[in-house]
Amino acid sequence: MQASSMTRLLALSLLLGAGNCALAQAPYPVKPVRFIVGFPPGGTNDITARILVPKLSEYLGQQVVVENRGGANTAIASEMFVRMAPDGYTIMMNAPGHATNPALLKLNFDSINDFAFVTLLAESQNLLVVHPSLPVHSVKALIALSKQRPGEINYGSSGIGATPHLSGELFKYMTGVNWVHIPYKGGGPGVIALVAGEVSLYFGNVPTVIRQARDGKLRALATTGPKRTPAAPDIPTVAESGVPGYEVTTFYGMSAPARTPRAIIDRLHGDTVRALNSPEVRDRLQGLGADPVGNTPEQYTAFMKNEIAKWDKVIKAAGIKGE
Amino acid sequence: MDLLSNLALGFGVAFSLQNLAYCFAGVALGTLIGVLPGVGPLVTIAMLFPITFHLPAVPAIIMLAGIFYGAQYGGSTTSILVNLPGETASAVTCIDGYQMARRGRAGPALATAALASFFAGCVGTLLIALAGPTLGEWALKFGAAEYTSLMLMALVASAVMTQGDAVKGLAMVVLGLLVGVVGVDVNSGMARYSFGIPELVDGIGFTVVAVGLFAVAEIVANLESREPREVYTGPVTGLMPTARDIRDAAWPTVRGTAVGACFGVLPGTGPALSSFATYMLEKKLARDPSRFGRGAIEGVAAPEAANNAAAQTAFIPMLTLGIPASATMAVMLAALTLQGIATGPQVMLEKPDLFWGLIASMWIGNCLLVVLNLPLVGIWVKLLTVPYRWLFPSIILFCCIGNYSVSNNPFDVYLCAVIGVLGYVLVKLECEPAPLLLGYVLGPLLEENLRRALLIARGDPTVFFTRPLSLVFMIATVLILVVMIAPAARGMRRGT
Repeated sequence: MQASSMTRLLALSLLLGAGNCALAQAPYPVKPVRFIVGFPPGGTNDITARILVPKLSEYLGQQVVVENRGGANTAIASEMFVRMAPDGYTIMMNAPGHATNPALLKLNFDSINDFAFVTLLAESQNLLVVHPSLPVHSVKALIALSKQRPGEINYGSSGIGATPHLSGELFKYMTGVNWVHIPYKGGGPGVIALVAGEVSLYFGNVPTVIRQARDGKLRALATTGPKRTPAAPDIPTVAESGVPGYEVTTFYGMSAPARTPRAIIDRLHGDTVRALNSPEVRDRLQGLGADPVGNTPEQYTAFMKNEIAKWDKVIKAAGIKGE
Repeated sequence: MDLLSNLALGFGVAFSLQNLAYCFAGVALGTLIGVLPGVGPLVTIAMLFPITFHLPAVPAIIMLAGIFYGAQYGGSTTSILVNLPGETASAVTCIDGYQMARRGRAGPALATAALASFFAGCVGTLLIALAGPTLGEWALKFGAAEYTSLMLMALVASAVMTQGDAVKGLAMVVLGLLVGVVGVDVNSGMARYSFGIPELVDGIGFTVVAVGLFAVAEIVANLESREPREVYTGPVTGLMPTARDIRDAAWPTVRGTAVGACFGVLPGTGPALSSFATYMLEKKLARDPSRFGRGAIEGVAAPEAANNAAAQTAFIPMLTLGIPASATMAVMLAALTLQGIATGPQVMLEKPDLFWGLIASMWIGNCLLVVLNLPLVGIWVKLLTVPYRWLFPSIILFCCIGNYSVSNNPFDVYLCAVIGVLGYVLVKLECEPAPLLLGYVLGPLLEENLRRALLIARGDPTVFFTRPLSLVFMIATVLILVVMIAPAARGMRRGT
């Protein structure tokens, strides 16, 4: 009796197992997924990945492991990444560097066609802040003052090609003002120089400068995003303050190598969007000043094409060179 | 008194069982990763970042801070034992610490490092408590011109680093400057000396250079001799420092603490510079500078005190200004932000339990570190009785893992091997690696700040003399130069 019931159970489970296999065409994922971050541990890119990973692992049913491969603003990681098997077990975090590198460096890969873009994870804005000694309270007044004193005002950044720098160059490109760019090695030293008054203005990631602006150590003029940020709804955007069409965001996206099967992309996309919509991930991203997005692969691809074209124009006009 | 009641509150917070446990976990982990080259506090803190989501704010920051300053303790261990710098800031400890170990004095060297670190850690923490906001404001007075003059002063003083031939020493500093400029130029964004190799675009990492020059080159040189030669020649004489050691190390520890505390507050200097600066100071002050480089205990005590004091005061810009001065501090700030805590001048008033709890935990953490590290001294010293033919493959393996772990890229391992060969050639030419490493650290800082200062002054070089602090450094630079050249000039006159 007992033996026969065991056999039946075994047969049933075999049958179920076979049925499972037949039903799910791609039993993805069956092993851990590598999530390549193109920066050393500790940057905002890395932190964003680490905020997403616990929930994403839970939904995928497999561990997602963050793997850091820093260098050349994600170009080194990308070069390795595009040669990976397109099986969904290696995915990558895209950063603004992905959109600016084509104009700055000689790359051994195609920044659009070698990637299968999954979804835009999150976007964060920069906040245009000035040292209180600069006698302006609006973007319009800043433009007027800059036109009166061409080449006299210094703006700081966290480094050549980083979004604080690009925000400044796009502003110069669209308004015709003449500022001198003073690059620093990282956002911390850059913000310290602004608070000390060594430079007069800075486009800093919202959470890194909002507190100083609220304390009166800095004066906030405008945000760089397409619409006002929920973190500071009282501050207008640059676009609505007299520079229509101005838009800079720091973005975090997910991509797979090109030719990854659509079914796998869809699975990744579905679980990633679900993770982004979970309150834990959403609150943590927003806490660090990033707004979760989670758009479709098509929307994200179009976004990336647009970004690359935009920065190509600005970088050429500003004469920034990488090599 | 206000401070006392605040400290009482802080110790009340820090002595809770939970906070003590997280403090211990932090400093123990810090010691461990300090011993491993390459794996630094930044990597560890970033990886543990998700864990802090599930912790309250106070134990989270206590643990992360413990990792950061705990790493400074562990970093000296491999420097002393096998000439392998475990952390950026402990590279200088290799110079005299390893020589002490070879003479059978690894025990006193390790114990001195731990005790000097303990003293500096406690004083550094006291400085945060007493003068945090004042020091934070002081750091803001340092602009590009001040940094330039400070670096120039350090560069001129670097002549002190050389043991024998001054020309060789100078050549090493210059070679270091050249190695330092590899990679993207901060001011123009251009990649220099990268030869189209993408891995070189971000420059050559500190771990690669320090491990190659010190650890790898040393092993190659040791293996060269055909007949079996024991590297650790001296008989092991006691594990703890003698009364004389303590007398010799006392003032260097105090001076190292002062120098380190100043450098720690300045965000633009980097972790290695404070230990170099204090080493040069001690060598200049020493009655017999020739002892340095041959196992002088001052050469261990001063840099170890400096890097630990700097690790403590590095919290000041984050806690008092709300601005992270380094990537490591940025991750800690992110962890605090996600806990709903905004740092800045108000943090002392709004979250006294967090601020004073952290301060108190730093003292407790430093005590734990001494208690943790002193008994380990005996075990570490036993390690040296392992025959060298078994020891050196393990060291090489350590070097490879450390270099690989920095960016998960085998390129760094190959590059370290190349630099190891360079280091061996330098040993053969009787050139020392320390001035090269100092040039490598100073060069990029000096260039970056010089060009920034001139950019801001629109090319006017008088900026270095019109800003008072910068002028002070410039005058000091001239004085150092005079002091160094005067004996040589006197000698020449006598010669004619």
